[in-house]
This record gives sequence, C-alpha cells and structure tokens, in this order.
Amino acid sequence: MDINITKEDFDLTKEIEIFNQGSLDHGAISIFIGKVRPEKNLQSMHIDCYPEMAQKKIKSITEIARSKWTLDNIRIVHRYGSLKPNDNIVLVIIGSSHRSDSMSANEFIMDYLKSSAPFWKKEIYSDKEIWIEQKESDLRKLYQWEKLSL
Amino acid sequence: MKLKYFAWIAEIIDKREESLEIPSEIETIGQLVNYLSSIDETYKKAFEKRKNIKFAVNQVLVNENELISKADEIAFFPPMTGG
Repeated sequence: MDINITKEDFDLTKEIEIFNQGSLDHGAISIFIGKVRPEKNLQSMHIDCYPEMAQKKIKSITEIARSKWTLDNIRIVHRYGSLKPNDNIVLVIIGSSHRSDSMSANEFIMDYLKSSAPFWKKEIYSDKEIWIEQKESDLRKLYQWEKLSL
Repeated sequence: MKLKYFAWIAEIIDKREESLEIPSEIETIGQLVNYLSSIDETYKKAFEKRKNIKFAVNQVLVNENELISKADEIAFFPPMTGG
C-alpha cells in the first residue's frame, strides 16, 4: 500500500508504473481520478490539509477496505494546495483478482476520503471565496456502508 | 501544548499552529475551547459555531470530552471535504 499526500500533480502512466512495481497478483485494476470541476467563474481551488493525520486516516480506511474485499495493491495520491479547474485532485488505484472487489473498494475508499480524511476545499471566484461544506448526502453514503457491514 | 488550526478556523485565528501554556486544570478538549474563547476574542469568534468544529488529538479524531495533556498535539478543523 502506498499513500502520497502531495502538492504535485500526478501522471497516470507513471503512477501505474509505480503501482505495477508492487505485487502483480491481480486480474483487475480499478482506477479513479477526481478532478476540480470547472464551475462557472471558478478561478482556482485551494485545498487545505493536515498531512500527518491524512496519512494515518487514509491508511486506516484502506485497512477497512482490505477487511471487506480481497485486494492486492492499493495506491492513493491526494493533492493539496492551489489547483486550477480540471486539475487532478485525487487518484485511487486498486488491484484485485476479480473486478467487483477493486471497483467496490474504490467506491468505498472515495466515500470515506470525501468525508473523513482531513482535507478542506475552498473555491475561489473573482468576487468571493467559499469553503465547501460537508454534504448530508456524503455522510449518508458512509451510513449506508456502515449499515452494510452490520 | 501544540495547537493546530485548519481551513476557515486558521483564517479567523490567523495562525496555522502555535504552542501555548495551558492551565493545569484544563483537562478536556471542551474545556480547552472554553478557555481559549475566554482569553481572546479571536478564538471566541473562531469557536463560535462549535458544532461545526471537529477535534483531533495526536492526529486522531476525538470528541469534546477527550482528556488532553501538555505533550499532545491538538487540532481544530471543520468537517472534512476531501476526495
């Protein structure tokens, strides 16, 4: 497992190369890339981060995912700092023997990254700056996962 | 005690982190928030919307009743919006 909290952009080809340097004991790879949505008049997005806690939290999220599904390698890159519309924010690469495991685990990890990893997004427009608030719908997704594991 | 602030809380307090001497009778996060709010209007303003603030002790999410000590790193931040 590999977690990279960084200000730098990532290149998917290079990331898959790094991913493949680990175990190759998988028949499926699920890849998710989250980007800055180009909202109207959005100039940039600032992402604040608590890197030491993010490392610990993402590690624990991946450990929970491993207890739920049969997974091989996991590589996660999450950016912070100042980003432009269409810039990459997050990358989750997961290997598994069968696609349903890595695809479900990817969804699970992203849901938890969104609401429980210590990152905070601020949208910067020409005339205003808005800290994005946590959405009720995102918390409901965590509740659904918890209900499934009961 | 090392204190860290993130997102709009850091903006209001105008600091990312600081080390403060905290009176020994302060035993929990909730008491620490009350104490900080009582010594300076800036903290009071930052902690006004108390239910919108989350706390971590040594990088682990906790609630207001968590016991704290001088060696701890305490962080204050709004609900997370990663991903």
